[in-house]
Amino acid sequence: MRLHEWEGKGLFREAGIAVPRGEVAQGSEEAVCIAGELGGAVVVKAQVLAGGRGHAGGICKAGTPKEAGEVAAQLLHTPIKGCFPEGVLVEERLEIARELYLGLAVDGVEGRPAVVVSGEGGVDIEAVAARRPGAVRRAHLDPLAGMDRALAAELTAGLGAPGAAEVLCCLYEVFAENEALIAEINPLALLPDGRLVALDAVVEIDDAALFRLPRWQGRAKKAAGLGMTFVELEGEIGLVCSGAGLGMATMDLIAERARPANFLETGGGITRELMAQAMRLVLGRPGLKGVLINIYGGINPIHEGALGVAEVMAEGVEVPVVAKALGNHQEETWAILEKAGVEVVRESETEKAVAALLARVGKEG
Amino acid sequence: MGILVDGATRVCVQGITGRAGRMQTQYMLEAGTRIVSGVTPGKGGEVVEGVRVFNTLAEAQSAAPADASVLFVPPAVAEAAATQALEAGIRLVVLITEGVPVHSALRLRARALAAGARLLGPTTPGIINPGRCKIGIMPARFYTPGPVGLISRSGTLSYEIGAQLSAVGLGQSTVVGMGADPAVGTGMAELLKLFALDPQTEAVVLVGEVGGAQEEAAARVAQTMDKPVVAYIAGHSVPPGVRMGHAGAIVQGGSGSAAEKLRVLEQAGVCVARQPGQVAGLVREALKGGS
Repeated sequence: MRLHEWEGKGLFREAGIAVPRGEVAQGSEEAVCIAGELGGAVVVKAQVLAGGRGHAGGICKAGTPKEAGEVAAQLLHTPIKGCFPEGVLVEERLEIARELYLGLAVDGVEGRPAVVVSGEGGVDIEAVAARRPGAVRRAHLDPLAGMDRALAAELTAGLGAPGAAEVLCCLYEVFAENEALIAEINPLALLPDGRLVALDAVVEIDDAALFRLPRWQGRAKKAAGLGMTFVELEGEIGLVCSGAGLGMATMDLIAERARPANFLETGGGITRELMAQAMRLVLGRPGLKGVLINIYGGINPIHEGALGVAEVMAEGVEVPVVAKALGNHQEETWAILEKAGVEVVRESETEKAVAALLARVGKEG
Repeated sequence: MGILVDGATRVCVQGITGRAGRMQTQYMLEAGTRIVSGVTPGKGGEVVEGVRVFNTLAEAQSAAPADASVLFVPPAVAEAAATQALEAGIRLVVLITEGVPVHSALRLRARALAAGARLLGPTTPGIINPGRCKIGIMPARFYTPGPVGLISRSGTLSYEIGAQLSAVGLGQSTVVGMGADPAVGTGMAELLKLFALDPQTEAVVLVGEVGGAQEEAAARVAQTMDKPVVAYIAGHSVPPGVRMGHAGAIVQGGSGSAAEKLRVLEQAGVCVARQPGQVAGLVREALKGGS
């Protein structure tokens, strides 16, 4: 779960990292008030989670409270990558000497937290790393030991900003305590008086850790029912798969000749109810031309799931449904599905199941 | 041979009295796995499928020592249970549980490395050395013994490709699910190195997917290997920024895309399959070419 900038800055402030004075406004009048209280020039920033906000025009300067109100109204009504802002952050405008970068992220290949530090902040750090590898320093942390003050000092030594080691230690605190996948300050502004201020905050929290992060539980979106993953897409072929990798592979094969209407991954908790709910979710799509079920009985009792499919089939399904179901209890599963009017493909190739369904909907290869 | 497990591996099932634990214990026993103990706190003294249940790993280890443990426990207790296994001297911890926090996985990996042990998962289907030992949830019927090593980020896709290899007479030395989370106990490159050293393994199949950089790291290992490596990557049609079920499967910016992974793998001399159904054929060709 990605946090909004203002939420991330709240965490920074609590951890002892300086952030610009400012507040979130939900309307233009509120923005005028906040700008008035701040006094002087402000920055108005759309609170959207989409990346590339700056390039998309989501950050504007304003010289007076009145102007801040106008800019806020405009930002609040402009979607960025399809998303309307959830408020605007109105902040004091600071004079900046230099922009730095500090980031922490989970490095999946190393299996350790990675620290990234650069004297060139304010831009895409990966682009900096690609252009000038020497300008970006990386190191890995022992997840059992955490951030080491000596390491923080060493990593930030070349930045010419004496307070940066302390900021890095505070950032690690935010990363560890909130079980973040990413905690990034880009840019970290060095002011002419030597102070360091976080001008932006990117914090993404691990959804799997929400059960022990009470602070963020209310913010989390409701789980999609019984533990499955459902993503709506633009096509006309419905999909029910067990396993994300198999689901993506099936989607790829459908996409060669038709368009998937959705991605649906059941997870490892298939029951009769879950499969019935999955089928209804997929069948609810207008313009649907067919449904492919591709499931394996490993941890999942697919013979129980088949009863859920049969239940929905009995309610009357107007599009062809093809299933490939293999593994534990496969014979029992086939019998239930065939009796319910589902075409069963018994081979192990998903390609054959996709071909069988596309033949039924008139998209033969 | 094969990697990490064989017919002599003694296994403890943690969370053996739960629904999944019980059912999978039965399937593992049917596949010939030597299960020597089970653990569920508070259920010591019970017997599940003929296996004695203990309250703690330490008790189980003193009564009937195991080399490996497999966990069917809820996410909230997974870190504690896996840590207990490592502290009790277990050499291979197979963490089946889905939804384990990433920071827990990072700590578990560090603890396993410090103990000289291995962690597979979280979110792994487990590991099978066909005919000798199955530690996990994969249906044994899909696998036969043979010369092909298989490493997969996806569970069910490894069943599909395993079954297709078996169908054309290409048995497997070991099939390992590495888990699909952003951080896992043992990565694709590390597993590939083990297969490179295994005398039974003549070719290795990598089943990857969008997101992360596991395949890129494995490509660097493949480049140094004499054995042929075949790869398939799922998720060509996944839109950037959308997470497709696996926590680790997300394309961010240009990195982690299926096309980029295929490019890096091909550059490293890996044969890449465009469809899962092409993998077995490519392995057969690669093995012919090598002999």
